[in-house]
Amino acid sequence: MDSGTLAAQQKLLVHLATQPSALAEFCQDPVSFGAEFGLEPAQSLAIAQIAPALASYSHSLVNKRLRVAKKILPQSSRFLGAEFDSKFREFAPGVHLEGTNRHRDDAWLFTEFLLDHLPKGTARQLVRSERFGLEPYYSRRSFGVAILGASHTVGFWWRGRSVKFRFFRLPF
Amino acid sequence: MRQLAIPVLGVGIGFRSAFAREFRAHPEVADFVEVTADHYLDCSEAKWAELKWLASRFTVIPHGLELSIGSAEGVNRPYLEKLVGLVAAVQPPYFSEHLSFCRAGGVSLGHFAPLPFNEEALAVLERNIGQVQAVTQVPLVLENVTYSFQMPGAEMNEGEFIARLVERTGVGILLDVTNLYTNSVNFKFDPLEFLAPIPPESVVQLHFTGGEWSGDTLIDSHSAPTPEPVFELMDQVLQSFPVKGVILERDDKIPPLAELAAELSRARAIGARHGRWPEAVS
Repeated sequence: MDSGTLAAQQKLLVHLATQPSALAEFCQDPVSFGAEFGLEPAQSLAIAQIAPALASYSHSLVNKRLRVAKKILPQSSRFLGAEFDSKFREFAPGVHLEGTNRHRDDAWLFTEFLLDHLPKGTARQLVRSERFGLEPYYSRRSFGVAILGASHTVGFWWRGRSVKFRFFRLPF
Repeated sequence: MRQLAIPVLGVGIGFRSAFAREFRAHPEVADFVEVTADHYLDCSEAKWAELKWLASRFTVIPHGLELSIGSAEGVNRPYLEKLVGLVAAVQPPYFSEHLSFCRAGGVSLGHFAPLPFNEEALAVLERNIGQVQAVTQVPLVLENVTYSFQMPGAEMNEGEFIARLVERTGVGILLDVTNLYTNSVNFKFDPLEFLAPIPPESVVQLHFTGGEWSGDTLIDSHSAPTPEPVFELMDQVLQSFPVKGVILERDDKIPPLAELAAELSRARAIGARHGRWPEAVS
């Protein structure tokens, strides 16, 4: 179903925009790099001319994901501040998700990354609490319970045959 | 070209959760709504109930993000199947997507990327639009996007490209006047020259909102009130294009609904002055 040059051009562009190391490699030898994607030398050299804009575009793709992650994980984001951003930039390049819920998937995987990289303390508790809010989307179980130390609550979620899932929290 | 059989819709808003409660209390601020299709695909029961409420009160236009209508490898099929279900659920007069591509080689960019304005891209679009229209029955309308770079290989300018696309496919156009203004600023062209070749009757709907500056680049962040030049451009477009409706598309730094309503009122007055819809809310 490919349409020749356009297909090759689009595959190369997506690769350069989503793989941070690829753009630098491409700029060193655009003709050889582009040939691997089926592009003629002139076509590769034309794309090399927009490399600075592609670098900026690639950066903006990560920023867009970061903005959404902040909306999904507002407490962790507020508490961690700049560290949330830097940790996300560390996490993001290796993760390429698909589907209509990929921003939620992104946030779910990022909480896993944060739990692996944060020391014990309030930040971890907040991340764990917000991760609990996403758990029903990923768990095969029909219910979940967790002590959410950050908010001094016990959280519950459950799902039934006619109910996707419900949440509630009790203070302690 | 034959104009798509779409009723006058008036002035509407891109529905967002951030103002859902206020909007339920004051639905009279809008004549119709646009929803981001992706928010209602594989969604929770609460989101679906929200959509049903909107559809019971308004004409709802689904606005997709991930179809990738310009992908040489074909449209995003799993997404299309879900979109078809959503369109069937709300029965809109049309649904909209972006004149761009967002995936290739099985990898999603997560954002729009521009197409080269050439014959090869037109052929891909013609094929993909045909495949989409074969399964949806409802007209597809495509939106001009902003871009931070122009794809090499152009054989015509963007306005001519859109005109050729309309001629070949009969597709309707969602003209985002903010996107047009943004590109015209960043790439230094006259937006009226862009509009000149486009058949007026092809432009079904407008989008408008405000962006932000990042250095010397204007970003379509949908995070600010609509600036004066965009309202001026809207005025010029509504003067000569028989547009059916306009949507305020605010996504970030969303203010109280009253502030958005003021922007809607201004758009309503502009359209009413050009006879596109009545002055009062329907």
